[in-house]
Amino acid sequence: MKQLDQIKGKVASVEVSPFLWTRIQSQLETEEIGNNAYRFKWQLTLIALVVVMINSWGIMVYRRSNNQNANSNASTYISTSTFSMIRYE
Amino acid sequence: MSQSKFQDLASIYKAHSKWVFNLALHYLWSKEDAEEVTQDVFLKVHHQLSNFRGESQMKTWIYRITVNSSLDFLKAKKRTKRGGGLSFFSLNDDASERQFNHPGVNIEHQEEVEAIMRKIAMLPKKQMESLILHKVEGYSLAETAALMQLSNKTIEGLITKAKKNLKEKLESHQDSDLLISSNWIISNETT
Repeated sequence: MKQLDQIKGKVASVEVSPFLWTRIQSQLETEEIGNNAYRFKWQLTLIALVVVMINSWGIMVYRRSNNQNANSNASTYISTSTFSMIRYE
Repeated sequence: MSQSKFQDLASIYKAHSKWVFNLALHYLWSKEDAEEVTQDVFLKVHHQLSNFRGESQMKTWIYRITVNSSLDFLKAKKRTKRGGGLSFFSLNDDASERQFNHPGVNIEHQEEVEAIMRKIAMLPKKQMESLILHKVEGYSLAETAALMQLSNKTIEGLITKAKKNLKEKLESHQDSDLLISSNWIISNETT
């Protein structure tokens, strides 16, 4: 076991490469860009959803008002024609 | 990335990178692999820093990440060597196949240190950890116990067991070497 007790003196401590920190930094930056792109994608999807919802709501309101107009026109027509029919009689 | 979080990581890296790299080297025996694991360790530290509650010391926390990352790296390397897929294997048989390129070992001691490191790598995980910390890195028993989060007595027991196992392995290694050389002499004498 002498070999084991002497091993500490035979294995020297090694310095870390100065480029390792640069590698870690660039890896973190790449991850950050990826995260931002992901976040941006979600934001874009949300905005598109809101636009679609507003659009459908607008179409619905427009159709409803058109229907109301058509209904009121029809009732006006019915009432005037009834009135004229009564008059001719 | 917030500037303060990045500065935190920079100061942690400055304080801990050297021992993390050297510890990974003792497990992986290759500068390139140890650099990859060190990078992985600090990325994990960066991601998990907000979860670190300070219940244990920062060094103990980073130590656990380093050992787990090194062992995972060895397993992944072994798996890719075998062509992927799930397979059951031990790190023991890997220790006899891997190349030994430890940059901290002088050429004159290369053979001797390589033989011991290979045998250490074949020990059970806890025994291997305690021997690397206490004998190779030179930490005291108390420091080893603190890093491994075990009691001093347990560490003493682990080191005694590890020494006994190592002695048996080294003796059988020497016996097989003697057997090979005696066979070679016999075969040479007969021819």
